[in-house]
Amino acid sequence: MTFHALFASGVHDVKNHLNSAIMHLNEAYATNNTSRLPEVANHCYELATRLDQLLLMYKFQESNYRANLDYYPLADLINDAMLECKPILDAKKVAIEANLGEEEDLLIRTDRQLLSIMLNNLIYNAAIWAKSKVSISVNRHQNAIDLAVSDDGDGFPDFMFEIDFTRLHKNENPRLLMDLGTGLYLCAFSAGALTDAGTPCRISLNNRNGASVTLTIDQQG
Amino acid sequence: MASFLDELGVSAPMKNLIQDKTLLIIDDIPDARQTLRNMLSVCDLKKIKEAGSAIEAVKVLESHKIDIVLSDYNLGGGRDGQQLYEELMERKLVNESTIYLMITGERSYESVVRAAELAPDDYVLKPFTPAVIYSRIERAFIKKSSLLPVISLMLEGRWEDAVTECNRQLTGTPKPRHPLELFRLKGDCLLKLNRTDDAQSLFEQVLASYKLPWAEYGIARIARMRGQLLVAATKLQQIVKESPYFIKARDELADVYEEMGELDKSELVLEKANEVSPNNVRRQKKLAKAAFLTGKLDLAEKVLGNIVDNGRFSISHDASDYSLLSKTMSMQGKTEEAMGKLNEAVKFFGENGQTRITKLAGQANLYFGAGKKDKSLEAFKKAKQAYLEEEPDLPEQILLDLAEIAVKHDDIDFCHKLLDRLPKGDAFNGLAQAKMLMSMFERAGRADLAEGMVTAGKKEVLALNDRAVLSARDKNYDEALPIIRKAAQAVPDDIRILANMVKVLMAMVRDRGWSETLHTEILEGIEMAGLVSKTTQQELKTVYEKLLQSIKQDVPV
Repeated sequence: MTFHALFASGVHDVKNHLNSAIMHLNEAYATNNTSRLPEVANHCYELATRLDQLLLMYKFQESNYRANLDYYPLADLINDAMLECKPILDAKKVAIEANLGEEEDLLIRTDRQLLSIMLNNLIYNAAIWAKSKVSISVNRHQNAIDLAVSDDGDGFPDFMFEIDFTRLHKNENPRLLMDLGTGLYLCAFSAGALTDAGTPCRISLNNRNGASVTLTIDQQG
Repeated sequence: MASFLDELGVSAPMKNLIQDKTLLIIDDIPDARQTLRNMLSVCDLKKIKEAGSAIEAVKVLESHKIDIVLSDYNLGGGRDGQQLYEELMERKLVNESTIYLMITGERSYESVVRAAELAPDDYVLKPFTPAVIYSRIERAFIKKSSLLPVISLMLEGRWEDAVTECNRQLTGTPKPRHPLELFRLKGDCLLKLNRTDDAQSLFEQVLASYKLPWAEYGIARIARMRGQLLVAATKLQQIVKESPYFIKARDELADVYEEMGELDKSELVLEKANEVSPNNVRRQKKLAKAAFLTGKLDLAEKVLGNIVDNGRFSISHDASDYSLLSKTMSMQGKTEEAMGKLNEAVKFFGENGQTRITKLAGQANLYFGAGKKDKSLEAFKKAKQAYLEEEPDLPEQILLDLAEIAVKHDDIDFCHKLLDRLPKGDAFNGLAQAKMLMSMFERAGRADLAEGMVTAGKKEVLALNDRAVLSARDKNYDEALPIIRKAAQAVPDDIRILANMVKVLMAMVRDRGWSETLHTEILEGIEMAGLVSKTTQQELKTVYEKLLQSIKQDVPV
């Protein structure tokens, strides 16, 4: 998958969301009915997110991105992502919950900008396939943190597990995921960039009552 | 019906605490201010002031007590919110107790804030909802409230009490929400108290669990305080490489190089720092001076031009920027432009003692350079008269400019009177100042006067060396060591002083016992001695090896 193809796909998403938002706004003006405004907000948020990702991808492509690592309370980062995604979740009538268990005070060493983009992406994606709920959970190993975003939908189809997801961005055929319209290709791209920028990060997929994507972020050094 | 904050799960006490606060919205777009005001109203925040520009923000902050500032990053007219924040902090219109949130549409702002000398409490990315903005205000409020007891003590200079408060919070229950912040503050206090051993233990304790640039930076600062300049420089280089946005390390590295007498390297570090964080006028002034002294007149002109064009509203900007810019231009043969810059100084800052003297001294130097000695003398006399009548506080550059023309017109007494007014800070670490003086005397054709001053300085250092040796003989090492370190820093090429420093350290090992800290400093001293004299280095090494054998300490030298 070339940068141009990813870029074109992102622009395609932007166009669709913008068209939908304009259509809803035209409808609202014509009928003087504001009941569809949450959907407009939803499309606008998705639009802003895609543009953010495209800008970031451009920076990666131009080698114009430097990792900016620091320690952050993980609970704060998750809370921020949940609040940022709330309009979309509300529009889709999907609830969200985070379970940090004993890791409530955990500090994570990461690039806040990249992690928040990835996390938002995973939440948006989960919201598409969820029936009613998206869950975030945290699991700490000795030198790594697992951050899982799961939905209560029908789960990933079996063939998706045949792909080696350990370094998704280096996989020869990420288009498979893109064709499914999951949006995961962008997430994978971000994860790859994060790896290259300095914090080793892996992605794995599981089915746990629905689809679940886990980011594993190394914490050594 | 449940309110918006109830739905968010905000507790009643928290709600009451925050809703009492006064907020200031800074944004150049009226619609954006209105939208934010509406969102805050949903969150029961009603005490709201607005500012459409940096100047309006200053006016509001001068006349009202503001608890929370929400500033857009892009303020229009080439001004940005980060610059404004740093200026407001410098002017003390906001302080550590004010909650300051930056609003930005760019995720890359994270990079800006990381590179900033002063970081606001948080930043909020557009687009956002009322829930997001409230959650950020609440979080910043909670953090500020927990750290404020320590910060308040620090602001009062009560470092010991601040350390005690940090300890109380770190060991108390419930566990502190921001332990690393407390460690950082405690480290700063310990350094203020000159408790370098305690500070080193603290930073090492933090680094054992977290690879934090500020803790590495703390270790580098300790090395510098102990006079281990090579150790400090190496450590700082490593921090700069690993944390390119940690701008403090770059500034410290530039200072260390300056202290080591390596002005070229110092200038290069400042140049890089200016690329990473391009809006800091104080650093730009330093860079311009370093570029001027190292002969990079193009760069000095560019940086000073940027200050007078873009940094003109900064509190650090003063008439001396025009003065040095004018001098830089004149040295490149741009006499008319140089004259123009002097007029700009008066135009921008208004007619006052400082600008009058800036203009007259600058003109006198320019006329002198152009061979118009009479006109030069006339301007100098007026400048001298203005100075004697008003004796205004003049920045270093303007004092030097006036001193230069005084020397050119053989008014040496007046020159000395002016040089007495130079900021004295520390006689031994003002390398840039010394170089400025030298270059000033050279331009005035009286390098002999500069040599006299340097010789006087060196005598002062030798006196310190003698004092340190006497104290060490009395085993008063706590007094001897800081003095001999200072002397060694001031004249790093004086082998006698370097050797004496190593000897004081070895005497401490002998009388007080071996420690890793003393050992490192001894090795550093021996290494530095090698740069001046291989023979002395070998002698010192041999003495130290014997000492180690006698105390049965098996470590490599």
